[in-house]
Amino acid sequence: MTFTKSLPLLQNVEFVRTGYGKNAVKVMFIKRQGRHHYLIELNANVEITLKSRKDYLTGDNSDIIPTDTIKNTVHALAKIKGVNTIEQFSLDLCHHFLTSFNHVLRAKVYMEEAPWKRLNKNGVEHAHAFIYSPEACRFCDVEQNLGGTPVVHSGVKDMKVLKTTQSGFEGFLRDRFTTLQETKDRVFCTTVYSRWRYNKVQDVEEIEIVMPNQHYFTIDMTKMGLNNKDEVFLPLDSPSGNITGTVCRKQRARL
Amino acid sequence: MQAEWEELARRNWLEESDSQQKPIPPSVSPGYYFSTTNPFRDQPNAFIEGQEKARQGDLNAAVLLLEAAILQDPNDAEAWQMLGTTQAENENEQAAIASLQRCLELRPNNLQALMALAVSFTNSGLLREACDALRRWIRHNHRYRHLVQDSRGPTSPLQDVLLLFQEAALLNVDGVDPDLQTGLGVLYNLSSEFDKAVEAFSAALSVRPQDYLLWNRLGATLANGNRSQEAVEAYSRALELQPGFIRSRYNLGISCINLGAHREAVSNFLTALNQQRRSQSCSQQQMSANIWAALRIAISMMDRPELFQAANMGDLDLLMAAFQVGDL
Repeated sequence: MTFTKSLPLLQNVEFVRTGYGKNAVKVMFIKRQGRHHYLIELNANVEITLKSRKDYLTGDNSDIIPTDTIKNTVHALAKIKGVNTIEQFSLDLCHHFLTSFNHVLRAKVYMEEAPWKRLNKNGVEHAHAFIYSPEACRFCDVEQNLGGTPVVHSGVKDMKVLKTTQSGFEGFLRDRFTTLQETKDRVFCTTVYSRWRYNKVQDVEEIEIVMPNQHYFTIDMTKMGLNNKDEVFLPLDSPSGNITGTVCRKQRARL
Repeated sequence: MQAEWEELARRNWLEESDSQQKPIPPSVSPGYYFSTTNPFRDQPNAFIEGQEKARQGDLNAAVLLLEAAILQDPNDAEAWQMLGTTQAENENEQAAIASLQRCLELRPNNLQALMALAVSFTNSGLLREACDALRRWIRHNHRYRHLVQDSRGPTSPLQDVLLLFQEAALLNVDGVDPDLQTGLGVLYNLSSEFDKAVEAFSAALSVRPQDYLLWNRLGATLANGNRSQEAVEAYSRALELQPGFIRSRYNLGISCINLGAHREAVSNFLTALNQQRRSQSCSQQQMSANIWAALRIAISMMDRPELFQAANMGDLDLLMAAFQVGDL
């Protein structure tokens, strides 16, 4: 069987989706109100989709907004509009690309916020000192089509939590491949990923939650003559269980 | 060059991004907010006229007249009670709660106010407060007060009161007490036992088939129990009996959204808002915020950004024209 080499495939292949942009644009924004300083540091991925495909097809760059320009735009808009929240700044970026040109079809922004927390002493917040507190990472993504309303998701990820008791797992289905023993008490650890979508009135409409079950196993020390009573554990990165669920607000009728 | 850049900035970046206020929980509400301009302020017989307007379904006028009656006599418990129930029908829950609480300050054993307050608390998600009100209802009801005991062991407030109402229902061997059944219906809504709540409200309706409030309660119970089609039928009955029943029309709109009938939903919300506005050249504040919020949600599902803008601006006329909603 031979494969004949075909001509450039413009006849039976076409682009169905295109987009390009700049990833990992980092910006830190400081707002000074007297001696009180505000700080937000972000990391943005910006992607736009243009009306024409000519750059992809013929190498004609006349429509292309360089990704370097996209990076500059992020910097400049931080100065012009300020950065209050990553959601608002993402909205501002999308709005800019869709309204400053007439050939941008879609804009997408994904943004993460660096977890700077204001230093706090005895309940008094410091005016200009911060500490990097990576307990959780706040992120957002905004997507907007030309002539459409933006779809805003916000979220939290990399929030690792653990409990040492009052978690169990029993009563599950057993088949011929099941070896897992039931347990009434175990260490439970997970890293929370949660992303929620706002409806157009800035209420939360839907929340997606993904939580892996990061296992810790009691190390069997009997061969060393030791009785490990659930005191020493082996953290096992992988494989890990993965649990997902999405919830929506129910609109309640009024009695 | 700088000037060009500056031109791009249309918003002052020092302004707060979000002015969302946290709603004040009703148990610490500052009291009832009277309308700032009331054309009926010095009307004689304001209470009687308010009652009549409510009967006719002109709820906004009824509210103003009842407010006038109260301004003339702040200790008129009956006026406070009627104001509370009318505001609830007019889809203004916070105002309803404030009025009913004031009525109960003056008349702590007013059964109708207690029941209405329990309903309003239930709608607001305040389970404990709703149970308290219903417990008081039983305690002040001479038929059932003997059932109330102080300690019933380690159960929840909801289970306690539910048991009381169930025991009370057993006392009625040869007839249905529609008010008791209403209380049961409210409690089953709180415990999410919607089918039982439907039975309770249906029992109450068997005694009072013309009670449009009961039809709405039945409808809302069906809707919250995911029986949207049946809910629509119940709301329609309520609205046949009382076309000015704003709350029921709001609920009907919600069910339309749940059934995917977004256009019908918008139509219903617009009708309700128009009824409110038309009543007494009232301002934006006197239209129900809930209904505006639900309207925005329904429009947002239709992907008509220009109409969504109009909804944000509160441009009722534009929206009514766009959806061909005329005066009833």
